[in-house]
Amino acid sequence: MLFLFFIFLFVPQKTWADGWIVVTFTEPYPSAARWSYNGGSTWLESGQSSPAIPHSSTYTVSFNSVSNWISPSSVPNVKLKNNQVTRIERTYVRVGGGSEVPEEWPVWPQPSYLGSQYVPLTFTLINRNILPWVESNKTPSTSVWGSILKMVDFIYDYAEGEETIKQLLYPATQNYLFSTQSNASMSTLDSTVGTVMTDSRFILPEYVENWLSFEDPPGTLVNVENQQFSNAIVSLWINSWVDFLKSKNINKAGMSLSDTGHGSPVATWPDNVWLSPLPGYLSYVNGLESLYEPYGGAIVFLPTTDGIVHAFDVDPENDGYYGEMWGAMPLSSFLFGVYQEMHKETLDLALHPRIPTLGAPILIHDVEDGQGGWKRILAGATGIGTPLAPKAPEAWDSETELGVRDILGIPQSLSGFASGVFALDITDPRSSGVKQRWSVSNIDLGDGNGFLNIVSSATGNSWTKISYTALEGVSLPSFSGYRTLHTSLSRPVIGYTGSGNRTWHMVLLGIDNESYFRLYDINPLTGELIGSTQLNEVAALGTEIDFPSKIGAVVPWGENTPKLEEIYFYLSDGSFYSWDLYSGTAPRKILELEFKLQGEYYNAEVVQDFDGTFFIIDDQPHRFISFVVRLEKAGVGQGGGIIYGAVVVDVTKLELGENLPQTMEIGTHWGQTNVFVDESSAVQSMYLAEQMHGNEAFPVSAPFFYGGKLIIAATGYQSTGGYNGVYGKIYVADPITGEVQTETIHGVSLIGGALVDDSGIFRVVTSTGEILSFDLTEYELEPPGSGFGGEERSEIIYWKRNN
Amino acid sequence: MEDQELNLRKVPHKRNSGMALPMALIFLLVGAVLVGTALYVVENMFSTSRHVVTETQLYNAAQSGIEQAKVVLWDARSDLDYEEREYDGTIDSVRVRLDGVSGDYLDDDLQGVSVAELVNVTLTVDILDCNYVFDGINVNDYEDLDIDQIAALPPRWPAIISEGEGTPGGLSQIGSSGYLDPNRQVTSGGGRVLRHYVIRSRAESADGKSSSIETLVVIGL
Repeated sequence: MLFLFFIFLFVPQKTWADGWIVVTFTEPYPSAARWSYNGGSTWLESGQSSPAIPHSSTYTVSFNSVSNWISPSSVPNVKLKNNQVTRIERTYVRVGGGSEVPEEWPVWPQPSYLGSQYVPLTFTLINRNILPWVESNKTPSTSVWGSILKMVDFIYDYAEGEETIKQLLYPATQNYLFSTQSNASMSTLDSTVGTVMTDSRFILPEYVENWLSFEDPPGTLVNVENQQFSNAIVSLWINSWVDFLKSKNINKAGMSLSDTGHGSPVATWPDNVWLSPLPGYLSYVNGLESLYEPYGGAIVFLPTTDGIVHAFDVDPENDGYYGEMWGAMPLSSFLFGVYQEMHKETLDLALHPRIPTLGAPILIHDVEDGQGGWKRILAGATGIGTPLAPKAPEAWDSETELGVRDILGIPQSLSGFASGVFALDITDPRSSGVKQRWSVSNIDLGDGNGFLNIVSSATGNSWTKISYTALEGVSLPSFSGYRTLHTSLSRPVIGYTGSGNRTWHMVLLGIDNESYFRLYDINPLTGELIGSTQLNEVAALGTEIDFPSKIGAVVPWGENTPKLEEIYFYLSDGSFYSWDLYSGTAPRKILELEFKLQGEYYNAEVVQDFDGTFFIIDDQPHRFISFVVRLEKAGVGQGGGIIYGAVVVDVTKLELGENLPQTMEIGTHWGQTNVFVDESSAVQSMYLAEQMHGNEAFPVSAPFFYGGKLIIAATGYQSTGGYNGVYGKIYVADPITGEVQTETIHGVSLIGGALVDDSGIFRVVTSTGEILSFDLTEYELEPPGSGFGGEERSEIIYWKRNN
Repeated sequence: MEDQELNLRKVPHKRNSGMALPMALIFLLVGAVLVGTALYVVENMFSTSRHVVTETQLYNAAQSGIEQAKVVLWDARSDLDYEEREYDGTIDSVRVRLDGVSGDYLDDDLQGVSVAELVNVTLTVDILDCNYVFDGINVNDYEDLDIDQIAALPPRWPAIISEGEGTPGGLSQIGSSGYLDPNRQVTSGGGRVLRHYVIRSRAESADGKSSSIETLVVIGL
């Protein structure tokens, strides 16, 4: 603390910037391409940052003109956040010198390499035995990123010398699936998918057979289609795309799978304790157990950005290798995934580019399907979405082997984005049993043009492509709200409302096409929108790419089923909301967190999932929510840099107060570690670091309440106190007394994912693939499953004889 | 000491005569009375013993009804209608039923059934839900009920969350993760939903004798 004080006292004070803009051009782009944030007074190159500019203003980003290239459209109304870098990616499109401009110039999904600084994947399993995790390589800047999945089974009794960490049995499965239908068995993803691509519903924006006609040589008419999806042409490259997906000798940064974006591996067992009390659920679980048993009793699902949801067994043979059961590509990814191959083929790339079509976390949850019936739903989304830009003119040259681009004019200035949400039915987890439950894609082509691509039982299980224009009528009102969907954030929430007949909901937190945060309330069985709610906050897309906002639900007092009375979401601008969907009330902002240091305010972005519990205070249950925030202050040293803190909110006490939301400055008391400090009577915070400032601890597990304590695993680099090097650390903090216990292990760096096994051992993974264990019983915490509540049982309260 | 020795001296016998017959008659009379009394007592005891055996059979039959109902209740625990019931003045309105099946009750097969190896004995078992309120239409308060209706009502006991020592969890409320995730299974120390049910079992013989047992069962799910 004293150290910080002297630093602040003697170092000349600097006027800290408010915000920055960084614009990146996708490859290829002309060397003369420049962008400006101030109407052309200053021109900057791709990847160059603007100077610090006030965040209170809005800006228009414009682009210069370059001969034979189409400049991107200006981006108006760019809003900055305090101490935030707002990132924008745009595409210059090369054109020929001709004058004929065919209509319906197709748009292509574009590669993206943004967001390489993702936070670690966020999940903590409790009372489970299998911990899966992902190791990634996100360094390639012009080709696909890679990842590998590993897992450990903590209840298996390994023999000495036996491999503990399970690896993927290579090569991966050849059993990849796709579907253009819903509620039907999926089809094999192989060379025959070319027949699907000729479907006019597949092509962006519309397939035109004789899109361009010219004479070559003079007197000989040549017709060119706008997209090369004829069976004859598709057959030339389709196997290459399928091989890419199946990882057969295809380089993905040297790894077996594409990267996972923000998607975590999800280990799934037949049971769900939160659903056990509901009618018919236990019988349903009994049926699932026999289906899961051949795979080792559990299945690990993993979404990868190339569009595949992978299903892996958990090594039933215990030979150190797990296998891939199947991979399924939902229609929302299938529509765009093929362009990974199209870019490679037509632009003559050595490696496949990264076109993320499945970047958000997945959720696996059971929902009631009619009386006493249950379905297991795997829901996911495209995440940040896929940018769209006009098809590169040289693509036609490559496809036709003619100099077509020389006769093409400048295409209409199309740009847009595509986003999607989907659900698979994995009630029967076998490859023959998995079905596409529904899929909705929003293809926004700008200027009010676009269409939705839908498969759902609500549309007769068939594939429906409907334009925005048609949506403005009465057609498909239950889907029309998807037109606003731009970006999906975080993992959705599934639960129910209604006291008699339950209505199931899937709540998705997203960003709409007006850049505002929006809640999408979705029927998890059909994909139909029950409703959507736009919030007042504008999203900083650049921030959301790295640190997406979080949404989650906690069980209400006196309840143990997923009744959606308490949904909480934390937006990356520091806004913290509660929402009682069960009562149908509007979301309520209860807290606004800001980080204050040296008189300047900065955002407090959330990292990792949050958690909630109850404590009994004055004989009343008080709802406590905890989350971890990231605070970035410009500069290095002098109080600058990135620091992290855990925040615990007594929501009950907070809501007793008036004038919500309460604006809270956090960090003003920071300077000592390993202790909770009171920010107010309802909010406490704890600075995460080893010893002192400069040794910040980065959270790698989702914080969780356990036995009255808040537990967090973190990692960092220590440079003081006689030690230089990485460290891993756990915090066992008591939010009531403020006491914090810690345990630090030097020489290890932790990655995302954590588990508490049935003996109370807290497991985290190191960057070198080792398991670090902390025994929670040494903190006087009982193992899970050891107490009264572990088993279903009945007891006699009284017995009497009436006569 | 001399006084004591004097007191122990033998008293001289008097001479008695003419008392043998009356004494014999008296003994005969007393003996006849005793024998009659004994016969009466024995007969009465035999009759009482026969009556106790019948009561025991009825009691055992009623107890078997309790056990049968507990099995039925436990087996159906996942499929029960857990919604709060509304008592309308009839016992059927709080009778346990399966979720979504409004007209059928869980104890339908336990009404007036015969008992194996007990001729002319029938068994009736009611399984009643303690999680109820008055419907506000037919019944607003206990004052709207007669004494028999009140006696027939099970105790009111809404579903509650159990609390335990140590780490509350699984379905935990206090101090442990309540995050709605299938992989958050703290499951130690309370947290189960406790649901209360009254089981009433009545065994009745053809001659109008009966035995009735009542028990309150709590199921933690």
